[in-house]
Amino acid sequence: MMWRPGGSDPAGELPTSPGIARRLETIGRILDESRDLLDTAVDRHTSLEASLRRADYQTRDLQWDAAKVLLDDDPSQPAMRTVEAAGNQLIGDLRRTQGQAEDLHDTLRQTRRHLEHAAPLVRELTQLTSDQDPEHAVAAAMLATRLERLTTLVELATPLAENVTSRVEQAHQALDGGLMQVGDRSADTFRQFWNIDRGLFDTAREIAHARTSTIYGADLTEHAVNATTLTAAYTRDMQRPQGYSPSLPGGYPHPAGAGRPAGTPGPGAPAGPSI
Amino acid sequence: MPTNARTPAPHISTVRSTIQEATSDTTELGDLLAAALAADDQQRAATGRGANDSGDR
Repeated sequence: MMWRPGGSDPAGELPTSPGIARRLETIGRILDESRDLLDTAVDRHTSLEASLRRADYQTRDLQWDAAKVLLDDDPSQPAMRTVEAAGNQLIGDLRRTQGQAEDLHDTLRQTRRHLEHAAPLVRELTQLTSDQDPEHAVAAAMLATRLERLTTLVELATPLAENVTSRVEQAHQALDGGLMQVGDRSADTFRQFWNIDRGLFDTAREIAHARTSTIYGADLTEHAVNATTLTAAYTRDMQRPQGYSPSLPGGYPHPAGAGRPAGTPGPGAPAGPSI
Repeated sequence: MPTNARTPAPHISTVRSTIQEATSDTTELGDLLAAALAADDQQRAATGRGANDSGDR
């Protein structure tokens, strides 16, 4: 049976044009509510991202604070307690961050339920309008496209939010478990947990030591060169002919004159400060 | 150099890398939301115009 715009279906199976308009409005409202939920998800995402970045900074600071303690062969109890307190602070922050991630995940799931509710209505409306009400077909097609876009978004976003929740939980548990292990505040267990920092600091310290040694070595070498230069200059001065200007680079003949024609300039004076 | 200088500690390295993975996923999620909702704004505006056009008729 054909549905006529403005008319009513005698069997009550097909909506009239005003009925279709109401359906359009209902579906539009559901999609707008879904969009409101997604806007809430965006706000929650912003807070979550800020918390995660803060947690990353806290973890890095904590690592370095712990590493400083580990520089001591016998770290003090107060120093270790300070690190432990910072660790407990981070545990609390991660717990709250986990709650934020769960809230975001819940919001996306709620949005999904909304969209799932709208999906059959949109399918039905699209079918009705394409067959019987071309005037509303464009509006129905737009709603269908919007529904599809939001559904795709939620389908992609939900697993990501689930991953974030899971990872924050893992980080929380790993930190909690690790700090429980060092709870007895013994230096050995402390080092075990913060082992990488000990290595990093040892490396940094060795590099600094090597650099100092290199500078010292260069200094010694410079002294040695200077001493050689002095010695060479004295030697040259002692060997120079009478009236010969000493220590002029490139202007002094070979001391013994061996293997050189008389008057051939010898090698230049060694590099070094002027004497 | 100690032999363990390049060996990651099992706990704190796990904590930090896990937080960084979560941050990376969150950033990806934010990009996705921003792009899709910007497109939805356009779509909604078009739908509003379409509804108005229908209403005008």
